Amino acid sequence: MNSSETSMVHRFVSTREALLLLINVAIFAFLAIMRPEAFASWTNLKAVLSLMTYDLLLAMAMTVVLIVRGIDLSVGSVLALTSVTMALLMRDGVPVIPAVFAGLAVALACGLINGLLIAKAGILPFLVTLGMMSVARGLATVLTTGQYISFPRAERWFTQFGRFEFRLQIGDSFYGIPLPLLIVLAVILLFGLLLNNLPLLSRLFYVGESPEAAKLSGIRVDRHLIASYLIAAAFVWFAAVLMTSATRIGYANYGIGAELRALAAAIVGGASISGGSGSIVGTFLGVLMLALIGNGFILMNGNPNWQQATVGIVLIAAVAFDAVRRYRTGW
Amino acid sequence: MLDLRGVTKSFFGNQVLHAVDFNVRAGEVHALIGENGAGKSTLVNIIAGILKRDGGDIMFDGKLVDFGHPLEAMTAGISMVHQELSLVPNISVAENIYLRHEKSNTLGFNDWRAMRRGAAEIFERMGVDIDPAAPVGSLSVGMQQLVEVAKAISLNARLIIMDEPTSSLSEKEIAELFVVVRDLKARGIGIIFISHKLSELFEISDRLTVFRDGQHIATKDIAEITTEDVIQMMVGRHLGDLFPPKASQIGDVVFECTNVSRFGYVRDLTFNLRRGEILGLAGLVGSGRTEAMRAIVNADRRLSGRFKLNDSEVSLSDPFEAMRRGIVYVSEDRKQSGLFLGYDISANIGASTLQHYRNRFGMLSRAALRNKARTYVDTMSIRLPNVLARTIDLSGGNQQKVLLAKALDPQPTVLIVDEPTRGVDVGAKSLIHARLRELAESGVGVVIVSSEMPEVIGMSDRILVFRNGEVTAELDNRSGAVTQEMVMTHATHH
Repeated sequence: MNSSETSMVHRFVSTREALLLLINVAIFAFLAIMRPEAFASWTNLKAVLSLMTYDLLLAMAMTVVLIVRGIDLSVGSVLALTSVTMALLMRDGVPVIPAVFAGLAVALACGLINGLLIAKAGILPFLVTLGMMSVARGLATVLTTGQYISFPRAERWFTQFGRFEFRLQIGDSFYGIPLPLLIVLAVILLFGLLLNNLPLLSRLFYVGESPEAAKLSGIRVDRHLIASYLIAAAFVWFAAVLMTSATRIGYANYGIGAELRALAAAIVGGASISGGSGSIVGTFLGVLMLALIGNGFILMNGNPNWQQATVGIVLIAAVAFDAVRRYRTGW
Repeated sequence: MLDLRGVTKSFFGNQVLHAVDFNVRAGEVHALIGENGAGKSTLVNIIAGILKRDGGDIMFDGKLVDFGHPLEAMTAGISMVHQELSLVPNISVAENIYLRHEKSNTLGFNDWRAMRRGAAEIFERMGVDIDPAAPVGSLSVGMQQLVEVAKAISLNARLIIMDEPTSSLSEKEIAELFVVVRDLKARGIGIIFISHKLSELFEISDRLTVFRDGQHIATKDIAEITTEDVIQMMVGRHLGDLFPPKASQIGDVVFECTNVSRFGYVRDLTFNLRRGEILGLAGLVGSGRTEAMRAIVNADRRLSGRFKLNDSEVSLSDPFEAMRRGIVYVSEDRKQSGLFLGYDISANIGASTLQHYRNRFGMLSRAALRNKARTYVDTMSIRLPNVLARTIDLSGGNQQKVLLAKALDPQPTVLIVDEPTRGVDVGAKSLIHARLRELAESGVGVVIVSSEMPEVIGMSDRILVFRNGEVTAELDNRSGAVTQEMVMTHATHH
């Protein structure tokens, strides 16, 4: 068994996660050397990490649907619609808990519609979710007439927990660690473990790798497809809750362009448009990479508008990298 | 006309051709045979300029050649008809034939009329009736194969390589193809013909070359040798009897299906299956056998059908439900609808049974799954580069064994195997046959769908013959008395 063990070690080292980790370390080192005070300050790092919170959840949502050979372009606008729904309800005096669950219902309804149209009606995921992207954004704008919705009557704990920080003392300095980030990290860690180890969720990979073979293997493909869009919707809802809590407003323009960042992060992390693959750790590293690059542009006094172009470049580069690798290995 | 001397090739340090000599004469059909992985495909890919050789010389028409690209080989007069067709389905036959060497008019635009005319002329010469304006996707696989041949002719090929051209053709289409092949031969064109079907090779070829483990074993005139000689050369040992013995004991009816219909494909199929029995479904390609079996597990929606398993009514509403009841259907197409090609063998074998491999926390135990996969590797003699190899990297025979292992893992009571040995080498074939018989002997009801007549007859205790979606005959074969002629008369119109 020696040979198989060495090949496992080899596999581990040569995985995409290891490569991504190296790239992240390289970017980190580059910025730390070029801009030691600005980059390596806790304030800056915290800002990077806090911004990642939402992108992480949306990228998880994207990863789940990519695994089943789908795509969800509506993550950003469903985020906005969910946020707006919760904010409007809380503004009108609905208590936090029912409002948050109403938001969940809205997000899941969007996910269910996506899933049903894709699985049962057989419409291309790209088209269905592109439509949903427009519908949800439009609906959110109509509901709010484009205004910020604040909700001063909501219970205080809700508006505080999104900004809560644990204070950690190391030596003489205090470090604030944002609570939402910790929760999100715990959630995705747990989800990653379940995705790979719970038979119910592991089957999603089979569905994406070959829907036809999955069907004949006794896997109910339709149900798994719908389930994955519902799981994605749940992640989106969670992001909406955290964002609404932290910003203390609901807004129809939340999450514009977020679907592309999520897609780029997931694909860089090892998910494929052709389904059957995707890695939670990889996606996490992909999000981190995009966040570091974005931060780098700001710190290097570059034009921050380059950030958007970077997302596109990263996405195309990742897809090209895969295409070349696949061509080389004949698969 | 073609002469290879000492050609070698390795992939990733793994030598697949050991200083191979091989030659083809003008106007001969030269059969190339060997188990999967023996090096045949590598050899012809080198000849056709798709792969580069590592060493050795290739002479074509007395000149030393060195093709860097398939187009160079085509220009020189060597064309290949691929195993997996390389035609573009949405464009017309004529456009496909002239793809990459389009005829143009004086303005330099594509001259569609000239191309259609050219295609029509080639078909006339070949004596086949295909509409040059029809989209290729609308033709049967057999017709498409002939279009590929026409394409080779349009390139003025003097050497045509046919890589398993008959693997998905019906008997009638094979006969048509052979007429064309004989005609090409008569016009002095050399043909390299790869196939696993020995009977075919004996019918069509003049000489035969056997490959084993990347080595040239022998080249013989077809008149000098027998089937047994060839098999022995291929596997390097005696296989004994070609098929395992018939059922020693046949039990009670385990599965009954009544009035299974699928619109346009299957009409009122009724049959029963006994424990310990292998039931063979014979018929021409397109006679509705695969469609009927897929309708049983409701992989494609059926119009009607009632089922009894061990005397109790079952609904079989989808493949999941069928599998839960112990009825497993194994697809004829391991690449498209059988295996998860990007995954390793343990992931494939556990595809239907993940829930059985859980630890006490309800989590998937990959170690348990891998151990189970190892037992299948042993019992089915699956050859792997390593345990974690993706199934796409296995040879056809080994893939087929993995596919069977995957179907056995849920421990079926009824196993329906569609084309259990398509495109599989002789060694793997006899192993799969032996395993299927063992399975039947252990009390499982086995249904085999096969387009290979010797296989259906050799394996089955009872045969149902299909024609146009209906069963035209039920033949008892416990004694092995059924002949190919008996099956053919019921399978074809008369």
